[in-house]
Amino acid sequence: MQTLNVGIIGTGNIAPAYIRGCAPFDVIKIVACADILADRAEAFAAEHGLAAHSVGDLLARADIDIVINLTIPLAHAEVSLQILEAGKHVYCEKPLAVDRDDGVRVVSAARTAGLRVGCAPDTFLGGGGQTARKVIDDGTIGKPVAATAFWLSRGHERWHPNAGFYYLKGGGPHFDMGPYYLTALVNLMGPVARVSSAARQTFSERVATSEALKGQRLPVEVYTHVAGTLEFESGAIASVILSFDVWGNHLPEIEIHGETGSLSVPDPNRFDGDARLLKGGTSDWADVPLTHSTNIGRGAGVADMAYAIQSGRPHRASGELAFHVLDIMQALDESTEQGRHIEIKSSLDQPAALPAGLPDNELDA
Amino acid sequence: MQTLNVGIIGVGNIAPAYIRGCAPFDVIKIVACADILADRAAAFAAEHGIASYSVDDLLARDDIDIVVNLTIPAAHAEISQSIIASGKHAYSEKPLAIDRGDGERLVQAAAAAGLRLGCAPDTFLGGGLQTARKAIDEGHIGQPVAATAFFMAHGPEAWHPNPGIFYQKGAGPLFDMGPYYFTALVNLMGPVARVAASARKTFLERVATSEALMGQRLPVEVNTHIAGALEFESGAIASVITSFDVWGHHLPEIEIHGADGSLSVPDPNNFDGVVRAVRGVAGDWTDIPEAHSTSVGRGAGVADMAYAIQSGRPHRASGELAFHVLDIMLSLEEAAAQGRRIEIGSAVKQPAALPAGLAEGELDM
Repeated sequence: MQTLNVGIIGTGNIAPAYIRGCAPFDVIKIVACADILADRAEAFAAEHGLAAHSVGDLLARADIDIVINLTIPLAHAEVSLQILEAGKHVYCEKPLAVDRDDGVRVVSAARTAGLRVGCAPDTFLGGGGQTARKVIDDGTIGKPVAATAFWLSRGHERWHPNAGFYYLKGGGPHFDMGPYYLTALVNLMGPVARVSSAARQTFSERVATSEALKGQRLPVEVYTHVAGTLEFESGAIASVILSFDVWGNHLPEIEIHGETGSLSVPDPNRFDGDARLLKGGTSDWADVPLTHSTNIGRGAGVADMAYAIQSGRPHRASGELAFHVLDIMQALDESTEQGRHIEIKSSLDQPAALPAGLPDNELDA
Repeated sequence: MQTLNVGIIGVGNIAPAYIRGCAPFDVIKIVACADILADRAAAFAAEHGIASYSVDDLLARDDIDIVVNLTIPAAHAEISQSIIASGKHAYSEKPLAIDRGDGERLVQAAAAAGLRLGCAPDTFLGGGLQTARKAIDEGHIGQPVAATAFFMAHGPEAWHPNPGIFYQKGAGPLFDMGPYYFTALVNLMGPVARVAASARKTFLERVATSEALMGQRLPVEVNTHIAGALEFESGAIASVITSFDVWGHHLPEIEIHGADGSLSVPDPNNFDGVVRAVRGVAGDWTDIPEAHSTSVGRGAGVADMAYAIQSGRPHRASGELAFHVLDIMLSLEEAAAQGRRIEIGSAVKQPAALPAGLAEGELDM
């Protein structure tokens, strides 16, 4: 495999995690960055030994193959389209776009240009998520029939230095955390056919209590508690809650219930964690030995895409998967607004499981 | 207060719990029983020192004020109607009826006759759920905004001597266990305005695995996994699951989330259990001291009705409350079948909280 050169647009909070996460993979090398704040790009480049450019100049560099789009959610689609127009593969932070129309434009543009579009999250490539996937694929709990997926908190305004965007279009608990949970469910259980939801905008404004914004009032334009059901093409039903309204709870992140057993799945916002298994008719949960490396981080999806570009195989954290997840999130809102179940029009094959027993920092056997 | 005489129709599995649960209350005295199986009634009567009759003879007795209806769910409405027609107050095991028309006619018949109609469950009168109610009423967690209520198991075919009825119309996890959970939620959060749901009949038949019935095939007529959302008149949203399809899970029974904190509510199928709360950013769950006696049992609702009959106040485990719960359960089925949100036609006031600090065996100050 050749090493593909990677550029980053947007050097905010999450960018250092990509530097760390991409570093172990020989198949990719981050060489440059850009940001609307030129100073911030310069500082980031200096710190990590990269070149800093304007967005235009970065996209003009002939030696860059893949551009990672780490801008804010509202800018994702536009920047991804620019990257594709420049003839480069794009890997976007979640969500792919803030609505279906923009998501379709990105996926279609990539298809037309013969380029790859990838999208976070790639946590499902971690040892925790892939071990759970193997348990299901091996038939250890039988065919999945039901699931639960819960992320409830009291919002990010207590700690985030710039929490306002979480309460504006493209934010909300389902667009913020939904991609982790929904991507994990689709990876484990296949595509969703129909959703139903009840949601509310509980408070008309939020008050920041972080040090940076103490006392600042944040307007709310999104649902902050989303409670829904996903009906999978397989017939399985998942109950999901994504909330910024809840002080405390005792709900597990994800559990999958099969015909012959139940599976406790680790936090889908992490690459590690133990899967646990209960076989039907018994009462003891047991840890499942890891079958995949947990020594992997954000950027695994970029590396997987770099392998895929060269071998011609599909990549796992794909634009199609991210679009299906976006479709589900938007349908949850529509179900609440329209008071009916919403059919999910997009579909896709489950991404291929990672081979078990890969050496660290390799993704193809 | 006078002691009111009570008769029981149906001396199956649950009848001994009523004998035990009613005994501590001076306001009621179980004096007679009846059953379609005369032998069974005679044996039960002998064991508990009461008289046994045919159903008609029991209903003809002038000295019986209240009749407790412990027949099978499909017979509840008809037997309760006979009780009311005989001029006696009726207290029914859950559910009140298995369709709306029957439930409505019962409530109307009792009102027209100036008689009381009560219905199980009365577990919400126990110390656990009344302590939770007091915490909410006193504003401990602020206005409730969201909740979760989950009952998931793999059905009773591994142990129950007659598991077939659990998979027939009028049962299933929704009608069997739903009344405990929905009654508790309405008691804590007020009436429900609309519901959404997804449901499935996961297996066409179940196989009994108890020693007595090993291998017997049980046909399934009902949905066995129902996942939905209840939207309360207050605006709060509760996520609910009732399931006979799940081998194991880590979900708490009931949690209520308020504007200022969260409350962990004990098992609504019990009269006792510890209430825990977390408030604000402190983040630590703490036990809330019991404010009400936990040494009450099944029959507390009958005793409460006996007090109410004599003082003229409303009784708590009322036909109206049970009808609202029935309406919610039927609406969940309809929401799943029709793929849309169902408005709840019935409304009910929250039952009055029990006064704190009552003497044992008393329900009014």
